[in-house]
Amino acid sequence: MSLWVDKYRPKTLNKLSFHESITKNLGALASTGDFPHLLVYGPSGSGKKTRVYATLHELFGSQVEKLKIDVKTFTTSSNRKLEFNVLSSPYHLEITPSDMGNNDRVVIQDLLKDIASTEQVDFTSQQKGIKHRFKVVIINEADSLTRDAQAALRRTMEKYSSNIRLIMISNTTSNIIPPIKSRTLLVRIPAPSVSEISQILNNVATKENLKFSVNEESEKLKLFEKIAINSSQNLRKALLCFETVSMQNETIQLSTNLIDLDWEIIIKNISRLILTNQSVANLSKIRVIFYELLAHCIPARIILKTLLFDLLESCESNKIEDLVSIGSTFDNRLSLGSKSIFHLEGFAAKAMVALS
Amino acid sequence: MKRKIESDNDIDDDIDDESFDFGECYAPSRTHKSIGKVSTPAPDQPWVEKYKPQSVNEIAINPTKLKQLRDKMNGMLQQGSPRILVVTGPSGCSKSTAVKLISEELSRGFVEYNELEDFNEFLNDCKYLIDKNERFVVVENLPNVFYSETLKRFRQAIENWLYIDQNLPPLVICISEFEKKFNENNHEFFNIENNFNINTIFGKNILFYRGIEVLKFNSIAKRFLTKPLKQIVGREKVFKNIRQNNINKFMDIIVEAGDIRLSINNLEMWSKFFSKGMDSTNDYKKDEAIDLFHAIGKIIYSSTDHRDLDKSEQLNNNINDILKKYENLQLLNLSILENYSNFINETDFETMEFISNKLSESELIYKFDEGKDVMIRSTRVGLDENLISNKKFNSITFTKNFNMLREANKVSRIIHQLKGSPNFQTSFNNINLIDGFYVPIIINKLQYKNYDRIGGKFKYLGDSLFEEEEPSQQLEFKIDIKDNADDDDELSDPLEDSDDDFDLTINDNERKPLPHESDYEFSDDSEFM
Repeated sequence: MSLWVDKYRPKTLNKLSFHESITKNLGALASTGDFPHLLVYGPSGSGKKTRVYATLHELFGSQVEKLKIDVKTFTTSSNRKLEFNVLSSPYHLEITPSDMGNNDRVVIQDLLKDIASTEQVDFTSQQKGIKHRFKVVIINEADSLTRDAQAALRRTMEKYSSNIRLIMISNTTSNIIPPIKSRTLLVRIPAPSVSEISQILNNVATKENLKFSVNEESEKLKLFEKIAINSSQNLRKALLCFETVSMQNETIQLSTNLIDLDWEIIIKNISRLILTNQSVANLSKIRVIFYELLAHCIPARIILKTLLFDLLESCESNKIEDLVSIGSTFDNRLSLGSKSIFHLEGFAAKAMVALS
Repeated sequence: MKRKIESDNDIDDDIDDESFDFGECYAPSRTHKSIGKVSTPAPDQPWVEKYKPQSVNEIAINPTKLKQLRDKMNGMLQQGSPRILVVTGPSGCSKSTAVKLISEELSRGFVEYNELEDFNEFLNDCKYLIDKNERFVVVENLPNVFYSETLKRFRQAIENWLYIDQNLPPLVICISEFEKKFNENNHEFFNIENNFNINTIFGKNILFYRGIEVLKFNSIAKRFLTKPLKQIVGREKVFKNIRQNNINKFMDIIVEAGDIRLSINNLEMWSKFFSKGMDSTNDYKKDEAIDLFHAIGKIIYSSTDHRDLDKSEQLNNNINDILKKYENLQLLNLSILENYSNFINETDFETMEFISNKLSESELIYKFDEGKDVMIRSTRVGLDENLISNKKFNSITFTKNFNMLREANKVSRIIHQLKGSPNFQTSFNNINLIDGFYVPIIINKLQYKNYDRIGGKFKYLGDSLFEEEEPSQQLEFKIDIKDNADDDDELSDPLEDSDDDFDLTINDNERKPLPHESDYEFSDDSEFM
């Protein structure tokens, strides 16, 4: 069984469906047989990684899809054993620095040195006349790299540039230090538009032979658009949501309710509590819910953001300014402090007072 | 192993041979004694040994507590219920002395566990102490519960004792609870290392079983402690040369501790120094440490100390006292967050906003020396005028922070495991926030399974209360995903179950004993009732 997200993931550049110009540029890049270090950024669910893999496919052929997982161990200076997964193919490997915690600098440096010390031997693509003397290293979630690690990377990038190409994937460039930005080719992948997403959903629906209660194209499109909007233009979310919806019934009712994420519903409930019933007892109740959300590793900043937008949606227009200003204060505190529960509570209390 | 029990008849002989290690009252040295006999004190014995109570009436303890204990122990003997009595309290509050003397009064005495023996073997041997040989089994020294294997075995032995279907002698466990300042490495967690109490020792579950009861002792109140000390003063020659008001002054200091053993020891040392012309009165300041709930109580209700000073001075001094006496400020801060809202009026938004804002602000500057007390101070200030008006007693609850961290650890472990599989080639947050919810639903529909959200489902859904927890199918789900991964993509290495080698910040044994909610019991001489 394979999820639609994986099943209908384009494997090659020419199958990519939106952002034509970016695709064309990547194709041009790959055709030279070499490319500079890349920093690919954009919101989640916009197809960053899909594009990166398609580019690699163009460069190295289908070998890049032969992935294997290695568990690497690394002993830190304090003698703690650190384990992390490295996904690799003959031509590239992929790491996620957030697996390594605060030791990412040492681990990445070590790993890259290791790779760089051996020159890539390339037999398969020799017939094409291009030899790839480098190995590609994909760094996922590059924005979670510590400053320390980023500073170390900048040196590594120059030193080993003959043997290694880095592709950094990140949601935003704001956490990435300028020296790295200047050493990489920035590729921005924006979120797909609503119509692009609905087009993709439509394609999937046709390929899966889904039955709809109404067979009119324009009516179906309305459902797809609803899903696209609801998923805030995150293609991954949209596809998963669509698959979930289509699982519910043999024939899909076009008027069907979308299935919202559980934690979003919980946050909606918090916002309802804050809006309708401001009291000290409710604050205690909300605190328990916050704890529950945090226990499920929902990042505190996402909780705050979602809650604020939920509140803005249904509060009176003269309160909007206050709420946004409160939200920004506590968002700042969240990134400064370490125990997020204090700040979430502070936000809830202030918001209650502002709304009362 | 001194103890051999061949048959019931042999036991009596064994006792005469001093084969049982019978407990002494609160002396640190180990001596063998036969049951009920009054030993004549040697003149050079330490006073704690010399003046130890010989009968129940001499015990320095609140008479009501003593009656409670006697009733409980009598019940154990007569009805066989509860099977296990856990007596807890701070050190030196006459717990074990009372238990031992009462057991001699009610039955033929007691058998005491020696920490060098294997606990399970000891309990097994004790099972024969029934019928005409019936006597109390007293466990004062626990096996080395700081080692997780031993702790596991200890808990198992206790569970077995509770469930075994036969007559058993009454078992009394005495535990001196204490709390230690958190050290650098595990400051985040509440475990047996830094909080040695019944919750961390037995774990949450055992204490809810039938057949186990807990009796809590408080430190000895001044008026009960003074009496035996005065008797000692009257009987020791050394005090003849010391002026009465010097003695009284010193006694006032040492009774503060509420620890009889400590007080007598201090008295002995002081008198020795004093008779040599050294006045060490001021060296025996009481141990001022207070426990978490006491500290919270002081912050919420303020204390009556320093009443002679003006308002702001009083406030300042009270907080300084707390800071001096309680060290684990991080835990204190979290507990304040958990509790402050129970002590302000429903509609008192001003106070609510003030305190919550200050809590959040001071969390930022907590790391700096100058800012570490801001949270406590502002809570006190906020609550000073606005404490809830009706005098209803609100219980204080323990922070949920540690539970939360534990759960979060579990969830992130599950997700990190999934992340290795080719089906989940996306970021941690994506797996958790989006896939975590949708994928199980899709699989459930496709394969008629009943999986929960990745990482376990939410216990709270908005304003509805706890949902009935169904047995989670999380583990199976993980395996399932792996199987799929292998079917789909024969190129991926099979993932090893990395349950064991994942770096857990809390291990299994420390997981259980988190007290959800501990009601705070005020001590006898509470200052803020």
